[in-house]
Amino acid sequence: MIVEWTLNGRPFRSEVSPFKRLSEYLREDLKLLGTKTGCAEGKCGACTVWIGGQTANACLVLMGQLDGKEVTTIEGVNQKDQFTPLQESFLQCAALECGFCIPGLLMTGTALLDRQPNPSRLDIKEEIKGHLCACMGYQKIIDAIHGVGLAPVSEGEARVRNRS
Amino acid sequence: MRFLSPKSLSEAFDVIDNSDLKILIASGMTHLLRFYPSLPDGLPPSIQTLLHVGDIESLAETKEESSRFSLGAAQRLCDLSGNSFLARYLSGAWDAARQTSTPQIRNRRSLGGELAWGSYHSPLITALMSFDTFVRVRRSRRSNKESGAFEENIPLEKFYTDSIERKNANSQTHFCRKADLEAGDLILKVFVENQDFKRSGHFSFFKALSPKISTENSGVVLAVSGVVQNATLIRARFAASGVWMSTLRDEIPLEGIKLKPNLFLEKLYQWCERYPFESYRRTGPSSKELGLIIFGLLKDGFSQLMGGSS
Repeated sequence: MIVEWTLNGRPFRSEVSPFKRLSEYLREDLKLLGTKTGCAEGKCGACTVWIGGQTANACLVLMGQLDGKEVTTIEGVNQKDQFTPLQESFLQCAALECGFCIPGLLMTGTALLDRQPNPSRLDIKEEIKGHLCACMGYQKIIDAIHGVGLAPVSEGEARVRNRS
Repeated sequence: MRFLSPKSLSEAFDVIDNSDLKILIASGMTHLLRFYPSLPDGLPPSIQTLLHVGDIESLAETKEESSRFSLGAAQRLCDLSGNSFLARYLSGAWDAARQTSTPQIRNRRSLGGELAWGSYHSPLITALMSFDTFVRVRRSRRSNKESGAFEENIPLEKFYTDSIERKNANSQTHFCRKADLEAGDLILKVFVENQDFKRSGHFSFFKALSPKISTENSGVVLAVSGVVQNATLIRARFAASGVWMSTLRDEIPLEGIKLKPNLFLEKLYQWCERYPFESYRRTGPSSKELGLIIFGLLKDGFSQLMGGSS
């Protein structure tokens, strides 16, 4: 089957089995190894990508479902070899342990911050429910998405952060 | 096996009606890909075509008509949780959609897929059962060779005829409700046909045990819809399902009781204590434990309704 889709902003025309999972295609055929495969059944969130701007488990998407769709992987998030503010925040908060779950969490965190620039800790907890961190680094991950590692842009923001 | 992804409903009907081969219809595929890790391997050998209907826009429409509110079968659960009409008038179903699985799954899973899979742990099915919900199904031409394909409305509780034990190649078993669907039948939409939901005093709520056993399973899910006037219960219907692998759907016979915390909750407890859970229970907690769990969830919901803490 020919699948015409967009990957990280570039149009693609892929000749592929419609039954191949997106996570396998990204890793095995395109060698985009930032998308991890963990449980392969949508529980760990390590393979999270964006499809049409919304988070999805790449392990639960068939290539046949992607005709005409726009897919973004972690490789497409940071352009020009620069870290995004969320990636900086993960570094500042030391929210990386083994790092396996981080690409998926960055995809989910970035999607949340795009939609809701100042999420509460509860919003973040709800949003990362589809991720498992085997190192149990959840508090630091929440801190990182909450932006506590970054310098506040105003005094008001600093006060709000200190309160929450 | 063929994979077809039509972009219009007429194209999908053509495939269904003109194919002698058995067809599996799917949309988000989150259930199928979890259960069949090597899809298409593991599917019954009779299935020769996988028809993906997730890209058909007309199957994903929401319509608010005078006496009914309809949701297209290809609506994704994230669309439901962002639907303001649902949040305002059918808050039990809205809350159930928000509490289903994980955000990534909700962004892919369709309403029709959730209904067709029929999990006893599905928050959404249970919540929709607490309303007068109907499912509109297009029966394929094979179902009725004389008159061809036709459409019918089925009350949601009658849409499930029995239970089914699904087994995959890894001997994984999933015990679900058996939907009244044959190969080639297509769920078109779901509609709630009742003016009550716009009536003053109408309420609905959804409750589940927390934390969940797994991302898909809370253990027990419960929804209530009803009407309250002058702080008195006019009527309430509950639906519950979960680890005991059947669905309870019944009226809560406390009409005319004032919604005062002590009085109402005592009556509610007495009713839960006497409820014949044993006759519905296949497995899981004992009848007495089930009564206590159900009471706890009902108490939680009604306490919020009464404005008190649960």
